[in-house]
Amino acid sequence: MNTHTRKKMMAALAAVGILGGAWIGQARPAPEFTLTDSNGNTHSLADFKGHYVVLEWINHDCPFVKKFYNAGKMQDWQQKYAEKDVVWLSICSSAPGKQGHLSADGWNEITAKMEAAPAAVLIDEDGGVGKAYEAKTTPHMFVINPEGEIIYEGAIDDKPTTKIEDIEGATNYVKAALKAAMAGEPVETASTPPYGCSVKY
Amino acid sequence: MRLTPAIGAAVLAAGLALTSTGARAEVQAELLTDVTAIRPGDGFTAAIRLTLKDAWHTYWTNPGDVGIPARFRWTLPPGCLPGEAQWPPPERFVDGDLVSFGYEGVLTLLVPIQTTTNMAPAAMMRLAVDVALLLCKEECIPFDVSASGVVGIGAETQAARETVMETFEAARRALPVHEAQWRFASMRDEQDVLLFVDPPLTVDVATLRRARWFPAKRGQLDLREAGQWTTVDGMTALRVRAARGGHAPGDPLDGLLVWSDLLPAGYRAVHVHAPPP
Repeated sequence: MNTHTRKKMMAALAAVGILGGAWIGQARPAPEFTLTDSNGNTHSLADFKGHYVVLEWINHDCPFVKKFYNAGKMQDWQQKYAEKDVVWLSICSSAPGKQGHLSADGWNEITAKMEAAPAAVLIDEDGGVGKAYEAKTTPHMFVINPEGEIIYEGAIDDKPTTKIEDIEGATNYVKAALKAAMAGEPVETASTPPYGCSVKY
Repeated sequence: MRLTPAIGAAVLAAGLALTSTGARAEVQAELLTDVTAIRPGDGFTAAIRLTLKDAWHTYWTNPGDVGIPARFRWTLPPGCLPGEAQWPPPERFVDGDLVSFGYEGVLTLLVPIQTTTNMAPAAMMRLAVDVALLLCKEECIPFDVSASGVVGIGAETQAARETVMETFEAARRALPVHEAQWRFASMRDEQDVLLFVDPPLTVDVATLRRARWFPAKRGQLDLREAGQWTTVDGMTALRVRAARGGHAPGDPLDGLLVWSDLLPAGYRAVHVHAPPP
């Protein structure tokens, strides 16, 4: 860059106040919600205060979701964390008529068939909760601490593919966040860009 | 593909770029080369050409909010080393609040391939590539397609026939250029990032402001706004929005500026590397 250009750019930078106003991501409070699950029970986030909560955006027909369910991994994690008193909630924000939308009975059927073990499958067919969390993809994962703050949001792991063989050896950000937080340590990776299918709002 | 030496020789004599295609209803893959024969030690270029059925799209290296880019696995003879695939500028797809970057129609990716001088002599060598790609329209389906081609190994490198070379020329013209005459800097301004652009003299401000912006890094920016051209103290700048947990103050901004038509300099996209001040 020549001297003249650099001087002009520096002047422009000074004009808008380069050194002020850093906007750094901080742990944001998890948006409160109340949703009905596939068994007709209502759940509010406030009900789970004092527990770690995992939110998993789901569309059972999305190849990125199938990757983890066909491998049996998502079910394993749901069971394993239930034993550790973590509340794992699958949320479907597919609009009626869009891919991944199911009736309550349909969800119970597919949950049984996949042998999935979330604490509940929450139906968000108007997409209000998905949009409050800015859920973009399926899967899109959120980990909430007992104080109700989001301590991790983003991709499930660091291998953005649809291939089952890529699960082994990937860094699972949800497991890493829960492990660190439960040990009283800072969560090293608090957010990543999620990967997957678009949420079918 | 099984190829007898006699057929292979006939094909090469006719100057044909022989390829096999991997075809599915939604996507067809072809492998072309800009040579019919190679002298060991020379380099050549392969083109992976993906033809997508109407309404389907696949993704750029930064897919945006959703999707993933294609991945390639080569099967090449010893002494043949593939380089990085070179991607043409993408299009922007908007689905409500979600924005993605990718391609419809025909996508041609150029891949430089270098050979070593100690390649074993052979009448010809077979090049094959497996492509794992995600195709989406309303819904997404992962596909695995393969394509292959053959190139002779000889005393002289021989260019492919003219129509094949034209395909390569068109693909090369579409590629973004690294152009030292363009100067960039970036600066964080609250939730926004300003991309300062100082173009070469041949590009006026009106032309500059017709450029579309494609960020290179997934998750760095909030993509709902495509970017707003503005003037800051006499400098032209593009104002974009940082994503939560994405761009941090002090991070550089990388990406592409892309025009609908070729600029007078003969390209339609430039690589941007904008360091902070």
